[in-house]
Amino acid sequence: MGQNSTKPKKTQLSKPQVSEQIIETIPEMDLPVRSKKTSTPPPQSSKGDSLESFFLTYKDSDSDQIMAGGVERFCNDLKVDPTDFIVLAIAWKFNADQMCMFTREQFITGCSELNVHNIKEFRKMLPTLKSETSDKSNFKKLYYFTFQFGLEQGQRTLPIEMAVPLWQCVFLGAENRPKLLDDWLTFLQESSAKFISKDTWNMFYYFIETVQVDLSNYDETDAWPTLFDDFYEFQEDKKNTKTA
Amino acid sequence: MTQALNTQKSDTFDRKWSDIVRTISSVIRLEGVDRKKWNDSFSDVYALCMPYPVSYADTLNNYLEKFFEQHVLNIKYELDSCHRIHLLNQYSTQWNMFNDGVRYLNSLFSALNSRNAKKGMFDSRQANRLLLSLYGLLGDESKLEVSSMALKCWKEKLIIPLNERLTEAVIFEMQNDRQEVTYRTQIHDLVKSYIEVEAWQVMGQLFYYTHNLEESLLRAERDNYRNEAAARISDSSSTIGDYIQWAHRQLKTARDFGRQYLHAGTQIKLCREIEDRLLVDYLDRLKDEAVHLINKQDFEQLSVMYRLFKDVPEGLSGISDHLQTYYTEQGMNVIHKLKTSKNYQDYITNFLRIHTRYLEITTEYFSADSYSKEAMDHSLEKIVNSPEFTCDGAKAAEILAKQCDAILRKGSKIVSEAEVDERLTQLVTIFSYVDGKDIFLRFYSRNLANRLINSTYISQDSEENMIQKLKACCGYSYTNKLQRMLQDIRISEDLRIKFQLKAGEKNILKVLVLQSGSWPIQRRTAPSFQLPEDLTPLLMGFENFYHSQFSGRTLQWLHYRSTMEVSMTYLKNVHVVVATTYQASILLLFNKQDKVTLEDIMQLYCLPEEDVTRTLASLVESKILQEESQLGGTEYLLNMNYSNKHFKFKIASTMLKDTASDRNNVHHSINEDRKIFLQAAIVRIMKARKAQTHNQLISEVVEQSKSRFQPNISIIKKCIELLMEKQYLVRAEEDKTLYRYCA
Repeated sequence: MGQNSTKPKKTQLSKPQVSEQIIETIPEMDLPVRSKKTSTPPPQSSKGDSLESFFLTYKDSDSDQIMAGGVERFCNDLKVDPTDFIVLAIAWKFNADQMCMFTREQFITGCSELNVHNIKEFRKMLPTLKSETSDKSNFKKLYYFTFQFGLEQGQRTLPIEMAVPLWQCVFLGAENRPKLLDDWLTFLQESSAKFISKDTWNMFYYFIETVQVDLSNYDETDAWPTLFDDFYEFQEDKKNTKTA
Repeated sequence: MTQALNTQKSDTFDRKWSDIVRTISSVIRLEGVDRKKWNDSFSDVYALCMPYPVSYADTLNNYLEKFFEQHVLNIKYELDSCHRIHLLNQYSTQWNMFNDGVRYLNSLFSALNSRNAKKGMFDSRQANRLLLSLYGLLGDESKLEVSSMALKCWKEKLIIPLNERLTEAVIFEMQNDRQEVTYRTQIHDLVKSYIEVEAWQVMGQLFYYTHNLEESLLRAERDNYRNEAAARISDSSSTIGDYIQWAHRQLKTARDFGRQYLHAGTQIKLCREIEDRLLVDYLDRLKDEAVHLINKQDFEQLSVMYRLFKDVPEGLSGISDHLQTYYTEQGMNVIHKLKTSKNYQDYITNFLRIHTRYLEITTEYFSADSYSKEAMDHSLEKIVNSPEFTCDGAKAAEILAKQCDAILRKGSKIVSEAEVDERLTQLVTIFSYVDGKDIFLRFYSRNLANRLINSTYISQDSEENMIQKLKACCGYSYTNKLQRMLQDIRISEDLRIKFQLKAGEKNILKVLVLQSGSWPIQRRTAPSFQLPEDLTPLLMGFENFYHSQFSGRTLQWLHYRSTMEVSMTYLKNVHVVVATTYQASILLLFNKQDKVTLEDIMQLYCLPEEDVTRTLASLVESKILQEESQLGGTEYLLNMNYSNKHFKFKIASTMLKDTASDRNNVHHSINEDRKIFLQAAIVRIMKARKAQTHNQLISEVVEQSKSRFQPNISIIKKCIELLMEKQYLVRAEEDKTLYRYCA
């Protein structure tokens, strides 16, 4: 199910600049640096230089950002699936505010904070990043970040069809995939809910942390968002029909 | 020298003391003492207490103490040999005598008392003594007043040794014959003596009494009642009803007896004890009996039981729960039988009957106490808000609103103002139980608007009266808009008179100026509508007049609510028809032409086709117009043969009446209104509190909306979520059940 639901994201990613992708997948780091260096305005320190060229490798031809095509190439070079958790973790580290897009600042500051200057170093760094996110408080930050990351600009809620794959994705990185996640996602697809609010998103983390798998300690009079009440009812109904 | 002084001293003292002893021996026995003797002794005491030449006060004190000791011991011996039956009587006599005697002696020895006081050995100021005693500073040195000394002696030498016998005697006496205690006053005296002997103490005056006499007494009574209750309840020859009657009598007797002859604290404790033993111990069985009585409708008996349970914790609430269930069931049965009825009044009448009956029961048998009232109110609420209370698709709120309209509209059969008032009061009584007060308001304000605009109200006073009733029930904000509607009508009347003066006799325009926002009116007039030329100056005249009165206000004509009278002079018998603006506009065309088409009208008046079709249809339906199908389309002509038995009449309008969808609209918009109301309430609360936990917030919101409707928790939650999305609120990171207000 996870595969299916993530598909639309993939097609979205590969929309623009197919031709460019073919040309530029071969050079890795040093080759294009000199030729493109002239186009960048102020000369910087050597590390800054290499970051700049690193950025330029994936930069969109029309704007000063890395767009979907660039992100996809970046993922390819990292040898990771664009729908993989690690990409989400990178976006978190870069403090990206939109999917499939890094601004110059995000990319360069992000890389320098991670202390990587080219694709090789980046690739080497990935396991460290992975282990960093397995820390509970970091993971929680990343989880909260994911909602904001998934939002379309100007929107305050996440459409279900976006929320479901994001939930899938973010918990790929969790130490233990929450047992209730699948039930929850099934419920969402069957319910009439269309959007997920930030509060619901954040509370879900708290939900899986505190509520038992059989929901036996769920209390409807607590401050849960109504969607959880509905989920609780949904699960109870399922239980009852099973026993009946 | 000192030796001589001492002997001389003791000589004086002994001489005087022997005189004094004679006096006090008589006084303590309450034997008569002649005045001279009394005066002599008084002077002697005074002399002995004088510091010069030598003070004998301490010695006097000691001697006096010994005297009391001896006297009390004598009495004790007397009582020791006394038989149990007479003990109480004897004790009481002796005590009274002693107590009185001591009081006399206290005044005889006032010199000693005041000397002791002066010496600071005892301080009569209570506060000081209290402090001293608290710090343990009031040591052995302190000297008591003579009376206190005597009472202390009585306690130590008599009560303490005899305590067991005395207590036993009281218990025996009290249990011997509960109804007729022979030695009532004697018991009273005994109790009094236990307390009075400690009266001089600063604190803990009741300590000895409560821990000795009272405790034993209560213990004995507890055992006694426990046994008796057990015996009675298991006695198959008597019913629970008998038991209740018996318990009732027991409590009453104990209360009366306790009030008169025991200490007040003891009476309360005793009654509580009896309640516990007779009632609380058998609470479940008695409650079963209560259910039984309720089902039997034996309210007489239940009333006895109810009063009995008044002071028993959990007692009344248990009974009133059953009462509520009974009330609800009974009421629901009545309402259930009306299922097929399509007459609103049936529901009203039957509910009022139930209400009256329950009110009677509550006041007559349960003296309208809060528990029984609550039971009644809750059950009536349940009944009136139940799904069964639905007539022809209308729920209670709608039924009530319609009935109000029926009463307040012209043409109702009720003539006298008093009756109108009575009927309205009844409806408001029912209304107070209805959950959906906002639904009622919705229907009511629409009906009121119709009555006011069409001038079909019976009187403004009755309208005002009803609004006042609603205000009393739900508060100012509930009736605010209704009040303003009524006010608009009054103002419009003044305005009309002024306009009449200005415009002169020929004015035929009657305008109501309605504040927008107060009236439940949608602007349905097509914005493009062009008024027939004949009418324009008329309205312009008023507009000018109005603007001269109030500057800066905009007027908008609600043509679709307006009517005018059109004389149909072309007929054999002239008729006057009351037509809406659209209808009249169409009719006016026939002043100039014989036939009109739909397109003509649309073009001329700039009206949408829908409106024109509907208006034409209404005119054709009422046979004022005829339609004729032509090649180019339908043409409309006047029906020259029109006749109507009324001279003046109204065109039956087809554009109104569609109650079912109407009701849905109302309910839909009510739900929207409720959400807005709830959000406003949440924001108000949060703005004031800044932070609030989930449950507190919910309960405050429920509290605030109670006067309008019973909000559903999940809707409140949805509103909270909505406000979080709108960033009015935010959930606290550290406590997931806490919301914060975002300014």
